[in-house]
Amino acid sequence: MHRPTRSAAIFGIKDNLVHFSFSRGVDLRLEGSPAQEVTDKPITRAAISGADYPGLQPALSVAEGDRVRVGQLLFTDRAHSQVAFVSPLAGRIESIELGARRSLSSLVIRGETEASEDNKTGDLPDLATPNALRATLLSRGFWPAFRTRPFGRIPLHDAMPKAIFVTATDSEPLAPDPRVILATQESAFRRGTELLTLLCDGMVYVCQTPGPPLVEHSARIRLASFSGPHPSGLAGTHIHAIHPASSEAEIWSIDCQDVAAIGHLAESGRYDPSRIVALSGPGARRPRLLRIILGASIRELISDEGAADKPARVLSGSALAGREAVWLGRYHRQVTMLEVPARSTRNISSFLPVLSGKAGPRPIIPMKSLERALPAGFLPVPLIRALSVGDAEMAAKLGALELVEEDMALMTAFCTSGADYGVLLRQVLARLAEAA
Amino acid sequence: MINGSDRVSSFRAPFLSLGWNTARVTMAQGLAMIPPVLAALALRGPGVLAVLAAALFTALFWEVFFATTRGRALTAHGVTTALIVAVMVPASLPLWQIGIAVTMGVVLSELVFGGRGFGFLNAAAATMALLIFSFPGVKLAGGEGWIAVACLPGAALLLASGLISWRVLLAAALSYAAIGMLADVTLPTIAALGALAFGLVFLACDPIGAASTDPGRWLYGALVGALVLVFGGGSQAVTSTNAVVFAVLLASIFAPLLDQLVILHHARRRARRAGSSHG
Repeated sequence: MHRPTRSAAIFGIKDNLVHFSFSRGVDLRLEGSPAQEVTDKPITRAAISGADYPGLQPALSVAEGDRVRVGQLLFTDRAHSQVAFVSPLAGRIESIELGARRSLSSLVIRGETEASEDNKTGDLPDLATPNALRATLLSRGFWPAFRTRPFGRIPLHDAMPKAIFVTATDSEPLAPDPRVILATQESAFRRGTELLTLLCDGMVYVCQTPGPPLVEHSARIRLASFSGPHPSGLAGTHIHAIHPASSEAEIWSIDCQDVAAIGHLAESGRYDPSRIVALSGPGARRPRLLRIILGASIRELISDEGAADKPARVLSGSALAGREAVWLGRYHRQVTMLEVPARSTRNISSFLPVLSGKAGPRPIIPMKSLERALPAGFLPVPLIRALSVGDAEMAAKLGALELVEEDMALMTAFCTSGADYGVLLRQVLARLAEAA
Repeated sequence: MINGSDRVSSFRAPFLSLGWNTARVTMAQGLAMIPPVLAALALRGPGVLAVLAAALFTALFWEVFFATTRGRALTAHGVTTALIVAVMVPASLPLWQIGIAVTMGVVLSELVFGGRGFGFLNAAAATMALLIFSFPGVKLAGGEGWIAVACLPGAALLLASGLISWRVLLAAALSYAAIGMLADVTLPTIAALGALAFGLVFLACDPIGAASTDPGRWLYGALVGALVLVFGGGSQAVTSTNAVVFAVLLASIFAPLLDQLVILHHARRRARRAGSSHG
């Protein structure tokens, strides 16, 4: 394991498990913490949405009205034809919408029960060699589960990462407990983790919560546990603490449920689109875990779940890093129902016209809260200043290549400027990726 | 994304605004200033109110002027500047001098940059310095002991809300004490401590003028402490409000440079770490 940063206190190594405890960060106290018990929720509409893959131009293999099986190829990435996107649902293609420059906007599938029989084709795929495994994961729709650092995008089909990080922690507010999620699929998770070692030169790091190890330590699999306030559970924090990404060292991260799905493929030959997400937040009537499918319709997911008297604003993702969406985000592990804030009716500017000018840009005031909003090992204020003015070179020097949008969410919530640093980071990363 | 009835509103992040806005920052700073202003009023009499009124009128006049010419919403950051001026300026000073100093201080250090938070100097520190430059012989109000005591609740409030950094306070106090001890064994007077305490909490620690990285804050604080002694003639005994003002002003000018040094060091360490994990 690499030299950890000074900022992370290592408590010790027990059962081959290195523990990192962070003191920096913020845990938000929100109402609507989910009961950690899983309920099945049938979903009849799902979509692949472009918001998860900015700029993706699909080379379509299906047309509106076509009948599709679970795991059937829907389209490939026009720029990287090896990367396949598959259907999470058996049914018919309801709509395909393209946005600017033929990028994907959304591809919606409406479920039909009689079609679901087809998923029984279960010839075990050949996963024995690195090349065979890679080809299978690419063609059967598992590749988008990986995300690279730098740049936070789907890896190239032939890229060789220095390490793969499996994220079995979640410190977002009102997050699901990964241990509960993995409880029913332990063997699949183990199998999936072993397979990941075939995809990289280096180690596969399983990042988990404190407690018994989720998988066995081996020559290529290392375990680390993380505790402390958010962002202690984000992949970016783990990667920074253990094996920082840089322009020379590409690191991949993958969520533990996607690893279990890979294990499931190896065990049964079937594509498993089901995922467990937390339905949570002050607007949720019965906050708990739901087993749904990838890209599920959020309207369906929350049907009968809202408190009748409270209108809710529904986010895919957490209250910090989520977005208002129609479809569950590919990388989101929760749906958050926030209460719609009561609109303040009294406003000084309505009495005094001189006050009603445009608010204009707001400044960054370097308060203490900003120092806690990024994992230790970054210089928060210089970084957000560089992002604010779009200074890509300086941002890269300050560690922007190690970060993705979700890592900036606390900063966005705390900064006086009101800027969305996730968006600013993405613009800088796009420029850096172009230059690379 | 938008598909028939599946409409997404244009509401965007942050969905939770947990942080403060600039108005709230100004309000906290204003609250923290109330005890020192009351102490000054009790010690120096109603002349303080005239100073406050003049400073407040001037600062807000320019804020309204800039807001209307730029078509921006009005801000009230000038209130804190005026409160600080009321404590630091002797009540006997002609009000027109205060008006001119506040005008130059607020406009040059804040408003020309686009308002509070876009510049790099504390407006009150700039006002005081310009006052001393423009009208030779002006001696700022000495720091009475009670003013130092009155700073404490405000300092606690600002520390608790994260608006001022304990690193700056501690570094400045340590460097002042350590260098002062080396230069001269006389202990600082109560007046010297009062001037120092007020200047540190309300001028030196202002997040706009101070360094914005944690190592930079240590360096900046130490620089303030050292410069107070330099401008005070090398002795703790004669530390005056004038010395504190110039020390803060000069240290604030150097703060971006100190941050830049920290950034350079950080970037080099980051590059080395990336290199060592390579392969």
